[in-house]
Amino acid sequence: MPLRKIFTHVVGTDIVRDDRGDYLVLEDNCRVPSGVSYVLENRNLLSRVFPEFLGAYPVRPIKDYPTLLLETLRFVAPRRGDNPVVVILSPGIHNSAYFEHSFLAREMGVPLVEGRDLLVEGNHLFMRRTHGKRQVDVIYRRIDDDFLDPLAFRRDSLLGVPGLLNVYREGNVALANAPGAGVADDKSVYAYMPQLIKYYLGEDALLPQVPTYLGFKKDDFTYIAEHLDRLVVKTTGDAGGYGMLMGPFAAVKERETYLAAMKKNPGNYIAQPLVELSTHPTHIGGRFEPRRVDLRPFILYGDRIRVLPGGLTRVALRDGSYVVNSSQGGGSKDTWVLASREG
Amino acid sequence: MILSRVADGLYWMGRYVERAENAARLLLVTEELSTEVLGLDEALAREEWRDLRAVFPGFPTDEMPARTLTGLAAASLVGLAIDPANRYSVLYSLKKARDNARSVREALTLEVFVNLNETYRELEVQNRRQLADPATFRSALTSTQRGIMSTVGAIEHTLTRDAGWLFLKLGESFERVFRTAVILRTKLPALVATEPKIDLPLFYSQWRSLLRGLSSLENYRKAFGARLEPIDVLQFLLFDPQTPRSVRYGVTAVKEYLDRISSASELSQSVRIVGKLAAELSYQGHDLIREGQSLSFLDHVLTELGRTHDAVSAVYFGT
Repeated sequence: MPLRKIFTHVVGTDIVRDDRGDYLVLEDNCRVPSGVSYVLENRNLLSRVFPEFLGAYPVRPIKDYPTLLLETLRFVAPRRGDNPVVVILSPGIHNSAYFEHSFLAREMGVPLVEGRDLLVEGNHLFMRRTHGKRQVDVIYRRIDDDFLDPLAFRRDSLLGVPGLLNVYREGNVALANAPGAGVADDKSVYAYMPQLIKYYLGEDALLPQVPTYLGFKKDDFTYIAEHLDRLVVKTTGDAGGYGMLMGPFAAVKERETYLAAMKKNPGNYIAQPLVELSTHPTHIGGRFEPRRVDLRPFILYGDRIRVLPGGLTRVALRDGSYVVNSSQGGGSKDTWVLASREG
Repeated sequence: MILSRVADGLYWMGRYVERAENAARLLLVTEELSTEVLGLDEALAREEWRDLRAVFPGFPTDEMPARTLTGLAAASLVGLAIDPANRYSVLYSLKKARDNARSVREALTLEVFVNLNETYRELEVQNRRQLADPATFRSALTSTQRGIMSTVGAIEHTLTRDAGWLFLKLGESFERVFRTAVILRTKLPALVATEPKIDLPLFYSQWRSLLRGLSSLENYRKAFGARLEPIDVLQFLLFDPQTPRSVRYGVTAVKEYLDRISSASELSQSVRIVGKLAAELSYQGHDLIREGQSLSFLDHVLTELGRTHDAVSAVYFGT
């Protein structure tokens, strides 16, 4: 059990609005959700370029996100009371999200470390400094489970720290998010979320989700195979819009190849009907055009649960596209949550 | 106290920024001298380019030897300015400085990063054809030099004076004094061998361009007046305690940064080496130059600086 029983310190749930105007949860991101630096930079840009917009509305501020994140991380430190040492663990400058890692380190005023900066001694974790080592209490890790510790997971990982998992098991370092938290955002587990919420909390989910067909269920697989032209198929383990098939837009040949791959490992796939994402006026080539969007709010879980009053609105910039992922050419927009006006 | 990797990154960022400025400045000075003496003494012009290549030894070994002086000048000029494969080109140094800055971005300020980034970007778009034109070459390199100066200014004006800053300045000082020593070591044999009275104006332009190459001409004049006596120039570049590019000043600066970096209780290996060297430089003078010991002394300086760098890497960067 992780420290203070928290598995998911930072969550970025993807929410969409369908053609009936209902909000749906599209995906739960419980591993290392990224994009919050865009949220903050978008706001900075907007306030510089169109200061008059912000002045006219009671837009709730989001600038304190790094402070809240740091509070969340310090809350789970094993050594409490005396100033716990928090670091961000990044794969390094070649990672596509490096800007964000560096940005958050600067904003929080904590060291940005790579695996080679850390070492394990006597089941404690230290960072190598110019004048000797210093113990580390909390790691906000921006690398995947697989790469965390070559002794525990992938042996060829140069990004991780040998022995880190042992230190973690001893409770001598906190990892945010906890290793294994990815189980909760697995695309197959997603289908059971409403039941899980009901079972553990005795409540109904506040937001509905998209109907999901699971490849490992025989009936579902048959349905998927027969309705491939109407479904969006995703692999359970991938993120970032990789490995998916947009059935309604795919060529017959493409669907056949995909289906053949699915048959080899049905459990690796899920399918959902194509959700007609809501659109938002977007300035393209000198005029406003509708483009599809989704929303990723950021949720922090420390001493309490905080939802950032803003979020990452991702936009599919290509005309007609449903894919909003930045790795697939998507963009983003500043997103406001308004405070209720007095009186 | 900072991460060893961050200290390493800042040290090398300091070295590469300084190296880029040195290379840009020497290119400008060499090009000017070469143009000036071209009609008078082609051998001398050729020598200038060869020296420059010895000071920045990054030219490919399989390079076609240039048959004409113009060819040599053009190849040296473009190669040392923007060839990304030349390990001492201005562009290469700026790129390495920027790569290091990116990897330790959280230890810098926006001002420092933006200045460095823009300086690099500006030079990156230059191509061989454009630079072959002397006027374009001069304005591009001058603008790079100015960009580096504003980066250094941003470092001066915005960085916290913490351990990271010390490592950055250590790298800068080290590169500066090391390059001064290399330049003197390369140029001296030819300079001291020349019989002065043969062609006096030419003889003096060589010494003048040495001083200019080390941006020390004006400083020299302040100390010794306009008269260029070789022994005075050497005395100045080796032992002057105030001019920022003399060997003595540079070694003392390296020592002072290392003193501040090492904790009070222990005397680190690097401080010991550079401390002895600084003491030698403070007590040496004219005699050494008169006795013709400058070359062997410069070799000694270069060896000791090399040992200092190794000790710094081993102790602080764990490399």
